[in-house]
Amino acid sequence: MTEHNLPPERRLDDQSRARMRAELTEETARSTTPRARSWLVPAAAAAAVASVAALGTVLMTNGDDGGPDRTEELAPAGSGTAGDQTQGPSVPDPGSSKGMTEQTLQAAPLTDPPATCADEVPAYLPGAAEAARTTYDEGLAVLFTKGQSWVLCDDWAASADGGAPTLLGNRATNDPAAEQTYALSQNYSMTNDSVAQFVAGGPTLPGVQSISYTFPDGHTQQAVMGDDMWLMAYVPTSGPLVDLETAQTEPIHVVVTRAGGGRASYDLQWGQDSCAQINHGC
Amino acid sequence: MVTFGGIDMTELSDGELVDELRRGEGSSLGILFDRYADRIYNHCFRRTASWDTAQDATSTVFLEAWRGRERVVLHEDSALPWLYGIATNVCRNLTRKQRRHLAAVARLHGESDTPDHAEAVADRLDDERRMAAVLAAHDALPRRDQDVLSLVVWSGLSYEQAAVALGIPVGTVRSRLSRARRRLSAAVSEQEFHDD
Repeated sequence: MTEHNLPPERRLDDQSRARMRAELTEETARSTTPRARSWLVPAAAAAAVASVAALGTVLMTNGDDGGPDRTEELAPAGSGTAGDQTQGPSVPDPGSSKGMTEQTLQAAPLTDPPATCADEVPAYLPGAAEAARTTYDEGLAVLFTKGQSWVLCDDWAASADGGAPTLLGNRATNDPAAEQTYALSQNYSMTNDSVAQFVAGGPTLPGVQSISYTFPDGHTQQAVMGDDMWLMAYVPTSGPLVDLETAQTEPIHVVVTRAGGGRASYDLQWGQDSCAQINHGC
Repeated sequence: MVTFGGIDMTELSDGELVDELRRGEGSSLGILFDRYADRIYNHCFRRTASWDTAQDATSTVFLEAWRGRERVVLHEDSALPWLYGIATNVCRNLTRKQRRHLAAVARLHGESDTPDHAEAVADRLDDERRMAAVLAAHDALPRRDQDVLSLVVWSGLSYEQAAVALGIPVGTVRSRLSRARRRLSAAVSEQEFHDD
Protein backbone atom coordinates (compact mmCIF):
# COMPACT_ATOMS: atom_id res chain seq x y z
CA MET A 1 0.00 0.00 0.00
CA THR A 2 1.45 3.37 -0.92
CA GLU A 3 0.33 6.92 -0.43
CA HIS A 4 -0.58 7.10 -4.14
CA ASN A 5 -2.91 4.16 -4.29
CA LEU A 6 -6.03 6.28 -4.11
CA PRO A 7 -9.39 5.82 -5.74
CA PRO A 8 -10.09 8.25 -8.59
CA GLU A 9 -11.86 11.50 -7.84
CA ARG A 10 -15.56 11.92 -8.53
CA ARG A 11 -17.87 14.82 -8.99
CA LEU A 12 -20.90 15.49 -6.88
CA ASP A 13 -23.93 14.31 -8.76
CA ASP A 14 -26.27 17.03 -9.96
CA GLN A 15 -29.07 16.14 -7.59
CA SER A 16 -26.88 16.22 -4.52
CA ARG A 17 -25.18 19.38 -5.68
CA ALA A 18 -28.54 21.11 -6.09
CA ARG A 19 -29.72 19.95 -2.68
CA MET A 20 -26.56 21.08 -0.96
CA ARG A 21 -26.65 24.44 -2.67
CA ALA A 22 -30.29 24.90 -1.68
CA GLU A 23 -29.32 24.25 1.93
CA LEU A 24 -26.60 26.85 1.66
CA THR A 25 -28.96 29.37 0.15
CA GLU A 26 -31.46 28.74 2.92
CA GLU A 27 -28.84 29.06 5.63
CA THR A 28 -27.32 32.24 4.29
CA ALA A 29 -30.71 33.83 3.77
CA ARG A 30 -31.78 32.95 7.30
CA SER A 31 -28.68 34.12 9.09
CA THR A 32 -27.92 37.31 7.22
CA THR A 33 -28.41 40.02 9.79
CA PRO A 34 -30.47 43.12 9.01
CA ARG A 35 -27.62 45.18 10.45
CA ALA A 36 -25.14 43.82 7.94
CA ARG A 37 -27.39 44.51 5.04
CA SER A 38 -28.36 47.96 6.28
CA TRP A 39 -24.89 49.41 6.04
CA LEU A 40 -23.41 47.28 3.34
CA VAL A 41 -26.07 47.01 0.76
CA PRO A 42 -27.47 50.17 -0.72
CA ALA A 43 -31.09 50.27 -1.68
CA ALA A 44 -30.39 49.81 -5.34
CA ALA A 45 -28.27 46.79 -4.69
CA ALA A 46 -30.85 45.31 -2.36
CA ALA A 47 -33.07 44.73 -5.33
CA ALA A 48 -30.22 42.89 -6.98
CA VAL A 49 -29.82 40.76 -3.88
CA ALA A 50 -33.43 39.74 -4.13
CA SER A 51 -32.95 38.78 -7.74
CA VAL A 52 -29.83 36.82 -6.80
CA ALA A 53 -31.86 34.87 -4.29
CA ALA A 54 -34.42 34.09 -6.94
CA LEU A 55 -31.74 33.15 -9.42
CA GLY A 56 -30.22 30.89 -6.84
CA THR A 57 -32.83 28.29 -7.55
CA VAL A 58 -32.12 28.49 -11.24
CA LEU A 59 -28.42 28.15 -10.64
CA MET A 60 -29.02 25.18 -8.40
CA THR A 61 -30.30 23.21 -11.28
CA ASN A 62 -27.99 24.64 -13.88
CA GLY A 63 -24.82 25.08 -11.88
CA ASP A 64 -23.22 22.05 -13.45
CA ASP A 65 -24.27 22.55 -17.02
CA GLY A 66 -22.81 19.99 -19.26
CA GLY A 67 -21.00 18.42 -16.38
CA PRO A 68 -20.38 14.75 -16.14
CA ASP A 69 -22.74 12.46 -14.38
CA ARG A 70 -22.19 11.06 -10.91
CA THR A 71 -19.96 8.29 -12.04
CA GLU A 72 -17.50 10.38 -13.99
CA GLU A 73 -14.02 10.13 -12.56
CA LEU A 74 -11.43 12.81 -12.31
CA ALA A 75 -7.71 12.35 -12.12
CA PRO A 76 -6.44 12.17 -8.55
CA ALA A 77 -5.35 15.64 -7.54
CA GLY A 78 -2.15 14.47 -6.00
CA SER A 79 -1.03 12.17 -8.77
CA GLY A 80 2.53 12.49 -9.83
CA THR A 81 3.38 15.13 -7.31
CA ALA A 82 4.35 13.33 -4.20
CA GLY A 83 7.84 12.59 -5.34
CA ASP A 84 8.70 16.23 -5.23
CA GLN A 85 10.21 16.68 -1.83
CA THR A 86 11.09 20.28 -2.16
CA GLN A 87 8.19 21.91 -3.84
CA GLY A 88 4.59 21.03 -3.20
CA PRO A 89 2.26 20.64 -6.14
CA SER A 90 0.40 23.73 -7.12
CA VAL A 91 -3.32 24.15 -7.30
CA PRO A 92 -4.68 25.60 -10.52
CA ASP A 93 -6.08 29.06 -10.06
CA PRO A 94 -9.79 28.52 -10.40
CA GLY A 95 -10.33 32.13 -11.31
CA SER A 96 -8.20 31.85 -14.38
CA SER A 97 -10.37 29.11 -15.81
CA LYS A 98 -13.46 31.22 -15.50
CA GLY A 99 -12.48 33.64 -18.19
CA MET A 100 -11.87 36.53 -15.87
CA THR A 101 -12.72 39.92 -17.16
CA GLU A 102 -11.40 43.20 -15.88
CA GLN A 103 -11.63 43.17 -12.14
CA THR A 104 -13.69 45.93 -10.68
CA LEU A 105 -13.31 45.19 -6.99
CA GLN A 106 -10.24 45.09 -4.80
CA ALA A 107 -9.25 41.69 -3.47
CA ALA A 108 -9.84 41.30 0.23
CA PRO A 109 -6.71 41.63 2.32
CA LEU A 110 -5.37 38.86 4.47
CA THR A 111 -6.78 38.91 7.95
CA ASP A 112 -4.66 38.57 11.02
CA PRO A 113 -5.39 35.50 13.09
CA PRO A 114 -7.52 36.28 16.10
CA ALA A 115 -5.50 36.35 19.26
CA THR A 116 -8.05 36.77 22.00
CA CYS A 117 -11.18 35.03 23.13
CA ALA A 118 -13.05 38.26 22.57
CA ASP A 119 -12.04 38.08 18.90
CA GLU A 120 -12.74 34.42 18.46
CA VAL A 121 -15.88 33.59 20.41
CA PRO A 122 -18.37 35.84 18.58
CA ALA A 123 -17.73 33.99 15.33
CA TYR A 124 -18.97 30.78 16.91
CA LEU A 125 -21.51 31.96 19.49
CA PRO A 126 -22.54 35.51 18.67
CA GLY A 127 -23.77 37.47 21.63
CA ALA A 128 -22.28 35.10 24.18
CA ALA A 129 -21.28 36.48 27.56
CA GLU A 130 -18.69 35.31 30.04
CA ALA A 131 -20.21 32.97 32.59
CA ALA A 132 -17.17 31.69 34.44
CA ARG A 133 -13.41 31.50 34.25
CA THR A 134 -10.67 29.26 35.54
CA THR A 135 -7.02 30.16 35.64
CA TYR A 136 -4.20 27.67 35.74
CA ASP A 137 -0.45 28.01 35.81
CA GLU A 138 -0.03 28.31 32.06
CA GLY A 139 -3.25 29.95 30.95
CA LEU A 140 -6.82 31.01 31.36
CA ALA A 141 -10.05 29.37 30.24
CA VAL A 142 -13.30 31.27 30.03
CA LEU A 143 -16.76 29.81 29.67
CA PHE A 144 -19.08 31.82 27.47
CA THR A 145 -22.78 31.12 27.28
CA LYS A 146 -25.75 32.41 25.41
CA GLY A 147 -29.10 30.92 26.25
CA GLN A 148 -28.64 27.20 26.33
CA SER A 149 -25.42 27.17 24.32
CA TRP A 150 -21.85 27.40 25.49
CA VAL A 151 -18.32 27.80 24.23
CA LEU A 152 -15.16 27.37 26.25
CA CYS A 153 -12.23 29.53 25.21
CA ASP A 154 -8.73 28.68 26.36
CA ASP A 155 -6.00 31.24 25.78
CA TRP A 156 -2.90 29.06 26.27
CA ALA A 157 -1.86 29.07 22.63
CA ALA A 158 -2.58 32.75 22.26
CA SER A 159 -0.60 33.66 25.34
CA ALA A 160 2.20 31.18 24.66
CA ASP A 161 3.09 32.09 21.11
CA GLY A 162 0.44 34.30 19.64
CA GLY A 163 -1.59 31.51 18.09
CA ALA A 164 -5.34 31.33 18.09
CA PRO A 165 -7.06 30.59 21.36
CA THR A 166 -8.75 27.21 21.54
CA LEU A 167 -12.50 26.94 21.45
CA LEU A 168 -14.37 23.91 22.65
CA GLY A 169 -18.04 23.17 22.78
CA ASN A 170 -20.61 25.19 20.90
CA ARG A 171 -23.06 22.72 22.34
CA ALA A 172 -26.17 22.88 24.46
CA THR A 173 -25.66 23.27 28.19
CA ASN A 174 -28.13 20.50 28.83
CA ASP A 175 -26.54 17.95 26.52
CA PRO A 176 -26.43 14.61 28.31
CA ALA A 177 -22.92 13.67 29.40
CA ALA A 178 -21.25 11.18 27.12
CA GLU A 179 -17.75 10.29 26.02
CA GLN A 180 -17.57 13.32 23.76
CA THR A 181 -18.27 15.54 26.76
CA TYR A 182 -14.72 14.79 27.87
CA ALA A 183 -13.02 15.04 24.48
CA LEU A 184 -10.02 17.31 24.60
CA SER A 185 -7.94 19.54 22.43
CA GLN A 186 -4.24 18.93 21.92
CA ASN A 187 -2.16 21.94 21.07
CA TYR A 188 1.49 22.30 20.32
CA SER A 189 3.62 25.36 20.70
CA MET A 190 4.55 26.95 17.41
CA THR A 191 7.79 28.17 18.86
CA ASN A 192 8.83 25.39 21.21
CA ASP A 193 8.61 21.79 20.06
CA SER A 194 8.91 20.50 23.58
CA VAL A 195 5.74 22.06 24.90
CA ALA A 196 2.21 20.82 24.38
CA GLN A 197 -1.13 21.47 25.98
CA PHE A 198 -4.16 19.28 26.50
CA VAL A 199 -7.36 20.96 27.54
CA ALA A 200 -10.97 19.94 28.08
CA GLY A 201 -13.83 21.54 29.92
CA GLY A 202 -17.30 22.93 29.86
CA PRO A 203 -20.18 23.93 32.09
CA THR A 204 -20.60 22.16 35.38
CA LEU A 205 -21.91 18.63 34.98
CA PRO A 206 -24.75 17.90 37.39
CA GLY A 207 -23.85 15.29 39.96
CA VAL A 208 -20.23 14.97 38.86
CA GLN A 209 -17.76 15.28 41.69
CA SER A 210 -14.45 14.75 39.94
CA ILE A 211 -12.94 14.05 36.54
CA SER A 212 -9.47 12.69 36.04
CA TYR A 213 -7.44 12.23 32.88
CA THR A 214 -4.59 9.75 32.79
CA PHE A 215 -2.29 10.23 29.83
CA PRO A 216 0.00 7.70 28.17
CA ASP A 217 3.00 9.32 29.83
CA GLY A 218 1.57 8.20 33.18
CA HIS A 219 0.51 11.62 34.34
CA THR A 220 -2.95 11.96 35.86
CA GLN A 221 -4.51 15.39 35.72
CA GLN A 222 -7.51 16.17 37.89
CA ALA A 223 -10.01 18.57 36.45
CA VAL A 224 -10.75 21.71 38.42
CA MET A 225 -14.41 21.54 39.38
CA GLY A 226 -15.80 25.06 39.79
CA ASP A 227 -19.27 26.26 40.63
CA ASP A 228 -20.13 26.95 37.01
CA MET A 229 -17.49 25.20 34.94
CA TRP A 230 -14.95 22.42 34.97
CA LEU A 231 -11.54 22.46 33.35
CA MET A 232 -8.74 20.02 32.74
CA ALA A 233 -5.49 21.49 31.47
CA TYR A 234 -2.22 19.62 31.22
CA VAL A 235 0.92 21.18 29.79
CA PRO A 236 3.71 18.61 29.51
CA THR A 237 7.18 19.86 28.68
CA SER A 238 8.89 16.52 28.21
CA GLY A 239 8.13 12.89 27.55
CA PRO A 240 6.34 11.06 24.78
CA LEU A 241 3.46 13.50 24.52
CA VAL A 242 5.70 16.24 23.25
CA ASP A 243 8.03 14.02 21.24
CA LEU A 244 7.14 14.64 17.62
CA GLU A 245 8.62 11.31 16.64
CA THR A 246 6.24 9.38 18.88
CA ALA A 247 2.88 8.37 17.46
CA GLN A 248 0.37 8.09 20.26
CA THR A 249 -1.41 4.79 20.36
CA GLU A 250 -2.41 4.33 23.99
CA PRO A 251 -5.72 6.00 24.85
CA ILE A 252 -6.26 8.74 27.39
CA HIS A 253 -8.16 7.24 30.28
CA VAL A 254 -10.88 9.37 31.82
CA VAL A 255 -12.59 8.55 35.09
CA VAL A 256 -15.71 10.45 36.08
CA THR A 257 -16.79 10.12 39.69
CA ARG A 258 -20.28 11.08 40.71
CA ALA A 259 -21.25 12.54 44.06
CA GLY A 260 -22.97 9.30 45.01
CA GLY A 261 -19.80 7.35 44.38
CA GLY A 262 -20.71 5.97 40.99
CA ARG A 263 -17.99 5.95 38.36
CA ALA A 264 -17.81 6.01 34.62
CA SER A 265 -14.67 5.65 32.58
CA TYR A 266 -13.81 6.38 29.00
CA ASP A 267 -10.83 5.71 26.80
CA LEU A 268 -10.28 8.69 24.55
CA GLN A 269 -8.64 7.83 21.27
CA TRP A 270 -6.00 10.03 19.74
CA GLY A 271 -7.34 11.96 16.81
CA GLN A 272 -10.99 11.26 17.11
CA ASP A 273 -11.24 12.36 20.75
CA SER A 274 -8.22 14.60 21.05
CA CYS A 275 -9.04 17.21 18.46
CA ALA A 276 -12.24 18.56 19.92
CA GLN A 277 -11.47 22.18 19.19
CA ILE A 278 -13.87 23.84 16.83
CA ASN A 279 -11.82 26.72 15.54
CA HIS A 280 -8.45 25.52 14.35
CA GLY A 281 -6.46 22.53 13.19
CA CYS A 282 -5.05 19.86 15.39
CA MET B 1 -25.53 34.30 -14.59
CA VAL B 2 -25.57 35.57 -11.03
CA THR B 3 -25.27 39.30 -10.95
CA PHE B 4 -24.79 41.75 -8.14
CA GLY B 5 -24.70 45.43 -8.82
CA GLY B 6 -24.42 44.65 -12.52
CA ILE B 7 -21.39 42.41 -12.02
CA ASP B 8 -21.41 38.79 -13.10
CA MET B 9 -20.39 37.20 -9.84
CA THR B 10 -19.17 34.01 -11.43
CA GLU B 11 -16.35 36.03 -12.92
CA LEU B 12 -15.22 37.51 -9.65
CA SER B 13 -11.97 36.37 -8.13
CA ASP B 14 -11.99 34.56 -4.80
CA GLY B 15 -10.80 37.73 -3.12
CA GLU B 16 -13.68 39.67 -4.51
CA LEU B 17 -16.15 36.97 -3.54
CA VAL B 18 -14.71 36.84 -0.05
CA ASP B 19 -15.10 40.57 0.18
CA GLU B 20 -18.78 40.13 -0.59
CA LEU B 21 -18.97 37.17 1.75
CA ARG B 22 -17.68 39.26 4.62
CA ARG B 23 -20.40 41.72 3.87
CA GLY B 24 -23.00 39.03 4.35
CA GLU B 25 -23.63 38.38 0.66
CA GLY B 26 -24.72 34.77 0.62
CA SER B 27 -24.69 34.38 -3.15
CA SER B 28 -20.91 34.75 -3.12
CA LEU B 29 -20.74 31.59 -1.02
CA GLY B 30 -22.81 29.87 -3.67
CA ILE B 31 -20.21 30.78 -6.27
CA LEU B 32 -17.42 29.49 -4.07
CA PHE B 33 -19.44 26.31 -3.64
CA ASP B 34 -19.76 25.93 -7.40
CA ARG B 35 -16.04 26.51 -7.74
CA TYR B 36 -14.73 24.24 -5.00
CA ALA B 37 -17.37 21.78 -3.85
CA ASP B 38 -15.89 18.93 -5.87
CA ARG B 39 -12.42 19.57 -4.47
CA ILE B 40 -13.69 19.59 -0.91
CA TYR B 41 -15.90 16.58 -1.59
CA ASN B 42 -12.96 14.51 -2.75
CA HIS B 43 -10.75 15.70 0.08
CA CYS B 44 -13.41 14.72 2.59
CA PHE B 45 -13.75 11.35 0.92
CA ARG B 46 -10.05 10.78 1.31
CA ARG B 47 -10.33 11.57 5.01
CA THR B 48 -13.42 9.46 5.68
CA ALA B 49 -13.47 6.71 3.03
CA SER B 50 -17.17 7.32 2.55
CA TRP B 51 -18.77 9.17 -0.33
CA ASP B 52 -21.93 9.74 1.69
CA THR B 53 -20.02 11.06 4.67
CA ALA B 54 -17.95 13.22 2.35
CA GLN B 55 -21.12 14.72 0.96
CA ASP B 56 -22.39 15.57 4.43
CA ALA B 57 -19.00 16.95 5.31
CA THR B 58 -18.89 19.12 2.20
CA SER B 59 -22.21 20.69 3.13
CA THR B 60 -20.94 21.29 6.63
CA VAL B 61 -17.71 22.84 5.34
CA PHE B 62 -19.55 25.49 3.38
CA LEU B 63 -21.98 26.15 6.21
CA GLU B 64 -19.01 26.58 8.54
CA ALA B 65 -17.42 28.83 5.95
CA TRP B 66 -20.50 31.02 6.10
CA ARG B 67 -20.46 31.12 9.88
CA GLY B 68 -16.76 31.94 9.92
CA ARG B 69 -16.84 34.32 6.99
CA GLU B 70 -15.45 37.23 8.97
CA ARG B 71 -12.25 35.30 9.57
CA VAL B 72 -11.43 34.23 6.04
CA VAL B 73 -7.76 33.97 5.20
CA LEU B 74 -6.92 34.24 1.53
CA HIS B 75 -3.77 32.79 0.09
CA GLU B 76 -2.66 34.35 -3.18
CA ASP B 77 -6.24 35.42 -3.75
CA SER B 78 -7.55 31.89 -3.31
CA ALA B 79 -10.06 30.84 -0.67
CA LEU B 80 -9.36 27.18 -1.30
CA PRO B 81 -6.72 26.66 1.43
CA TRP B 82 -9.08 28.20 3.95
CA LEU B 83 -11.83 25.84 2.84
CA TYR B 84 -9.45 22.91 3.10
CA GLY B 85 -8.64 23.99 6.63
CA ILE B 86 -12.31 23.96 7.56
CA ALA B 87 -12.69 20.61 5.84
CA THR B 88 -9.83 19.17 7.86
CA ASN B 89 -11.57 20.11 11.09
CA VAL B 90 -14.99 19.05 9.90
CA CYS B 91 -13.81 15.65 8.73
CA ARG B 92 -12.01 15.11 11.99
CA ASN B 93 -15.23 15.73 13.86
CA LEU B 94 -17.03 13.19 11.72
CA THR B 95 -14.86 10.41 12.98
CA ARG B 96 -17.58 8.73 14.99
CA LYS B 97 -19.70 8.39 11.91
CA GLN B 98 -16.63 7.42 9.95
CA ARG B 99 -15.74 4.75 12.43
CA ARG B 100 -19.15 3.15 12.09
CA HIS B 101 -18.90 3.42 8.36
CA LEU B 102 -15.44 1.92 8.20
CA ALA B 103 -16.67 -1.00 10.27
CA ALA B 104 -19.49 -1.50 7.80
CA VAL B 105 -17.10 -1.29 4.87
CA ALA B 106 -14.81 -3.79 6.53
CA ARG B 107 -17.72 -6.19 6.87
CA LEU B 108 -18.44 -5.77 3.18
CA HIS B 109 -14.86 -6.57 2.33
CA GLY B 110 -14.71 -9.98 0.78
CA GLU B 111 -18.33 -10.10 -0.23
CA SER B 112 -18.08 -10.87 -3.92
CA ASP B 113 -21.75 -10.98 -4.96
CA THR B 114 -22.25 -7.40 -5.95
CA PRO B 115 -25.46 -7.08 -7.94
CA ASP B 116 -24.83 -6.58 -11.64
CA HIS B 117 -27.48 -3.91 -11.87
CA ALA B 118 -25.67 -1.67 -9.42
CA GLU B 119 -22.36 -1.17 -11.17
CA ALA B 120 -22.10 2.45 -10.13
CA VAL B 121 -22.82 1.58 -6.54
CA ALA B 122 -20.27 -1.19 -6.70
CA ASP B 123 -17.68 1.23 -8.04
CA ARG B 124 -18.30 3.57 -5.16
CA LEU B 125 -18.10 0.75 -2.67
CA ASP B 126 -14.88 -0.35 -4.25
CA ASP B 127 -13.53 3.18 -3.88
CA GLU B 128 -14.50 3.12 -0.25
CA ARG B 129 -12.83 -0.20 0.40
CA ARG B 130 -9.65 1.02 -1.22
CA MET B 131 -9.71 4.26 0.67
CA ALA B 132 -10.45 2.53 3.96
CA ALA B 133 -7.39 0.37 3.38
CA VAL B 134 -5.26 3.43 2.68
CA LEU B 135 -6.52 5.15 5.81
CA ALA B 136 -5.86 2.04 7.87
CA ALA B 137 -2.27 2.11 6.66
CA HIS B 138 -2.02 5.72 7.84
CA ASP B 139 -3.48 5.12 11.26
CA ALA B 140 -0.07 4.86 12.81
CA LEU B 141 0.69 8.44 11.87
CA PRO B 142 -0.09 11.21 14.32
CA ARG B 143 -3.23 12.99 13.27
CA ARG B 144 -1.43 16.23 12.49
CA ASP B 145 0.91 14.38 10.15
CA GLN B 146 -2.08 12.77 8.47
CA ASP B 147 -3.57 16.22 7.98
CA VAL B 148 -0.46 17.46 6.20
CA LEU B 149 -0.11 14.33 4.11
CA SER B 150 -3.70 14.40 2.97
CA LEU B 151 -3.56 18.07 2.04
CA VAL B 152 -0.23 18.09 0.24
CA VAL B 153 0.05 14.62 -1.26
CA TRP B 154 -3.54 13.61 -1.74
CA SER B 155 -5.25 16.92 -2.42
CA GLY B 156 -2.37 18.64 -4.14
CA LEU B 157 -1.92 21.73 -2.01
CA SER B 158 1.43 23.47 -1.97
CA TYR B 159 3.30 23.66 1.30
CA GLU B 160 2.29 27.27 1.62
CA GLN B 161 -1.39 26.48 1.02
CA ALA B 162 -1.29 23.65 3.54
CA ALA B 163 0.28 26.00 6.07
CA VAL B 164 -2.59 28.42 5.60
CA ALA B 165 -5.14 25.62 5.79
CA LEU B 166 -3.76 24.28 9.06
CA GLY B 167 -2.67 27.54 10.58
CA ILE B 168 0.91 26.39 11.02
CA PRO B 169 4.27 27.59 9.69
CA VAL B 170 5.46 26.34 6.29
CA GLY B 171 8.49 24.78 7.93
CA THR B 172 6.23 22.71 10.12
CA VAL B 173 4.37 21.47 7.06
CA ARG B 174 7.65 20.38 5.53
CA SER B 175 8.87 18.63 8.64
CA ARG B 176 5.58 16.87 9.28
CA LEU B 177 5.36 15.70 5.69
CA SER B 178 8.91 14.47 5.70
CA ARG B 179 8.31 12.60 8.92
CA ALA B 180 5.07 11.11 7.64
CA ARG B 181 6.76 9.85 4.49
CA ARG B 182 9.56 8.27 6.45
CA ARG B 183 7.11 6.48 8.65
CA LEU B 184 4.97 5.40 5.74
CA SER B 185 7.97 4.14 3.87
CA ALA B 186 9.02 2.08 6.85
CA ALA B 187 5.50 0.75 7.30
CA VAL B 188 5.22 -0.19 3.63
CA SER B 189 8.56 -1.99 3.71
CA GLU B 190 7.49 -3.91 6.77
CA GLN B 191 4.16 -4.82 5.20
CA GLU B 192 5.83 -5.98 2.00
CA PHE B 193 8.23 -8.06 4.05
CA HIS B 194 5.32 -9.78 5.78
CA ASP B 195 3.40 -10.18 2.52
CA ASP B 196 6.38 -11.92 0.99
